[in-house]
Amino acid sequence: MLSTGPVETWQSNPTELGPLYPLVGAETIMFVASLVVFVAFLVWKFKSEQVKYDQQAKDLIDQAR
Amino acid sequence: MDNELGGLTVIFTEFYYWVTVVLMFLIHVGFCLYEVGCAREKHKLNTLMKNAMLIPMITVGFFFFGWWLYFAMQNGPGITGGLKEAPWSEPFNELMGPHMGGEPLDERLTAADTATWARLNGVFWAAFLLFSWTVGSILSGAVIERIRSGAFWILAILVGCVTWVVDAAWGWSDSGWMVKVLGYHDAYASGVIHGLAGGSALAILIHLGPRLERFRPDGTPRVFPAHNVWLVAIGMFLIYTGFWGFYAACNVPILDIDPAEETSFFSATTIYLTPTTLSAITFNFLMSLAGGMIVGYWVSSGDPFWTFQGGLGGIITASAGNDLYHPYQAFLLAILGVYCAYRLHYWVERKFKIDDAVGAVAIHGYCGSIGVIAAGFLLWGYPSSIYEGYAPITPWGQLAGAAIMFVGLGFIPCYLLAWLLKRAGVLRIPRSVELAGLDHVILADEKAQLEELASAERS
Repeated sequence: MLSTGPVETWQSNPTELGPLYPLVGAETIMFVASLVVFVAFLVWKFKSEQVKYDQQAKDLIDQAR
Repeated sequence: MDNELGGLTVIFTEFYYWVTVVLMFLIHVGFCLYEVGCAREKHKLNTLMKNAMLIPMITVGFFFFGWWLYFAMQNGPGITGGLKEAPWSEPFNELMGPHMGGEPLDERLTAADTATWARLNGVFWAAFLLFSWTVGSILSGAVIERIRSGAFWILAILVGCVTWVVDAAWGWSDSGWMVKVLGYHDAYASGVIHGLAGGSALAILIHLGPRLERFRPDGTPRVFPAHNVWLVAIGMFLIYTGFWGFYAACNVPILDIDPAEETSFFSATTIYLTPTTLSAITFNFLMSLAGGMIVGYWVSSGDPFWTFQGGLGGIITASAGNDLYHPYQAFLLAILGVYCAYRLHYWVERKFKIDDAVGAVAIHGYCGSIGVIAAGFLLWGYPSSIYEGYAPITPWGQLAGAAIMFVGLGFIPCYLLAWLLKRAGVLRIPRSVELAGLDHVILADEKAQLEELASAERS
């Protein structure tokens, strides 16, 4: 049977249980994927903020005229 | 975990830290309310989101590298040793996830590592993380109404995931080089959190500049009244409440402190593993709160803002030595610290035109640094550690420690990063947007929607 995790039964000796999460061994890949998302969010924030404030400043100056 | 007493001790410790995390969450709630209350109506939503989004920014950064830095940097590195091995804190380690403590897969981990960290890693990590949020949130209040959120989050990641973590490794761990070499003692983080955050905030404020029209042409400051004093008051009370969790989280709840092998004596300890009791810190927490509130009320002639801030400043001033002080010492020290911070705040504001919107540099930076230095005199000659060969607590060790926190790891890194952000043109919002208000588009949309609704209801 397909299994994503290291646990086959909960009826085993608990002192022999190590990691419980699925995809043990893929931690580095998951770390890199999460890091990419985190950095991408920050880049998006800086870019979108620049566009937003440029537009708002332009609109406010136009309104003042 | 191999016998009932060991199992109970570990699970009690796990639960203890978990509760402190829940309590400390209130600090952030308090900071958000307080900050939004202090902001003017036209900036309030942006102010809320800037601080609220600090939570995911620092949390993820702290998972990636902050927790590892705390262990790795304890020797400097290069002062009392090299980088310390701490595989359980690496972001791709098996112990940074659900684990029962059995045989480790990572060859660098020992059975003792997994037995300890399987249950305590997440709650220790979270307790430190909540301190990180606090450091970031302290900065957040000082810079309201004119900083860009993106720039603020980058600065918050720097202080929350790097600089405060490095100073904690150096001066707020049982084997940090500052404890070994300087005898640095800062049990409840006067310097490692508040001194550092105050220095960081001051550096950012220098580059950011004051809010528009904050100073009159003759240089005297205008007062920008809080838009909602009730939010400010509730926010401060929540910060006080969360501070209980902060104090508890600074302790190890149960540890055998008897040096003899054949006997045991269990006690709470500080982060330095030196003994204290929850009873002692409860006395001192409340007496320093009281001293701070009294002097805050007195110097400001009953101003609510300074009275509440005074309470916080009182606790912060006494925190470095609140594990050992007598309550009268905590009370009197709080009075001294808050009085000096209040006077310094207005002197710096007038002299250097620093617009610290919530008094963060004063209450956290000045009170924290005064508290660290004062502990050097009051606790002069006390052992800084349970281990042999560590320097004792001295005024010069504490003075050096306060300078490292406020200037070395607080002011300088943030000064450099804020300078870079300013040079890139991404630190401050445009002048016209600041005058109209950071929420002016949202408020205009809201108004248009309400008018459209009212029109629909009439027809």
